Amino acid sequence: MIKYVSSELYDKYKQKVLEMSPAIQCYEGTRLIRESSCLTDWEIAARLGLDADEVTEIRCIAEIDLLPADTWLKSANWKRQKALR
Amino acid sequence: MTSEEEIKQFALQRGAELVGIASVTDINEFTPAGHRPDDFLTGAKSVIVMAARSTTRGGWRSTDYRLPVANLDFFRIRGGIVLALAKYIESQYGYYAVADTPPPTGFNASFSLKLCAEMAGLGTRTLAGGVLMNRELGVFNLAAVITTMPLKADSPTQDMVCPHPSCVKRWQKERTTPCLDACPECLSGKLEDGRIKWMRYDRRICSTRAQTLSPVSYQRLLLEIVNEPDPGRRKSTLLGSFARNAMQAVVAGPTVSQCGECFRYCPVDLQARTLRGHGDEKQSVGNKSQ
Repeated sequence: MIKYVSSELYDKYKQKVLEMSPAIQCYEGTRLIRESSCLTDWEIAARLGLDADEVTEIRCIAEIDLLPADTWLKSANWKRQKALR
Repeated sequence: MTSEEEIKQFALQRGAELVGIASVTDINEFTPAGHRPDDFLTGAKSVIVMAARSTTRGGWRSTDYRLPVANLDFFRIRGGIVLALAKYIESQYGYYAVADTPPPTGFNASFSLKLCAEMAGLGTRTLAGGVLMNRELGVFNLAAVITTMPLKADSPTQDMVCPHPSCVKRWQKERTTPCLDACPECLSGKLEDGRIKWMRYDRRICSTRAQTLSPVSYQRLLLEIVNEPDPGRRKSTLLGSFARNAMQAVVAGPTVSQCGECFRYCPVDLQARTLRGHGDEKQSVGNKSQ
């Protein structure tokens, strides 16, 4: 179910949720480690005492919100320079 | 011909370059609840995974960074192939099959094609963000059919393509590899005794490069525009080329796979995308069971 997340709840958990999500993927050798990161929304919710729907919304917003707005523009320029090498 | 061979042949004839089969029981050992094949198809027993080149080899021979995504290969045809195969399994063998799973929620995929491909023996993980590669195709694109049909599964390949011997040598001298050097913002890791000791992939940064023109960049831009108090700046941002290209990608083009800088100089991928002469391709790819 899609859920509205208050600014207070979002601000409190945005960093934590993102860090625990697959936004950060750690491998031992080539085996993915799912202990403190790379967790599902359900798993994060269980650890933080939130609803999975709340975690989903916080994660989706944080995935976009926590980077400066010009990051995508800079990415395009970064790739342009790389291809010219 | 066995059912497994018939199914693989069906996919190969329609444009897949490699096909493998993984068992749902094996996949479920590594998959969290909510993302397993039988979460999407009740009673699922097998996943048929197909792989093919991400882009034409020529797509990489350009000083324009947009060429690889403009020439996406399997990505454009895979939906038709998996749908045809799912219908074939239902009509020919009488087992249920699905050709796709729900779209991602945010950046989280509903279903890991990568894990299924690994289990089906199509490739192994690399320092380049954990993407799979094999010697024939280098980096490849994936699609899968989930079915209730019990099939003999292939096993994961033991042919670890990463690290390439030349990367091991470079690591010994410089403590880096072509992929780590290309994108230190997204990738980090360590080699030890010629193998990957550990690696870390930051999807937050990668997503801005792999999906530069996408719903995400458009959403972020839109928020900036809405909050921009200066009318001139607001107009320039909204009507400028970046916003237009982002919108165009959302409406009409692929919004993924827009970056491959971590494997631009990967020796495994470089070798796989080098043309050696007419006819070589037919010899270098084919049914995994052959």
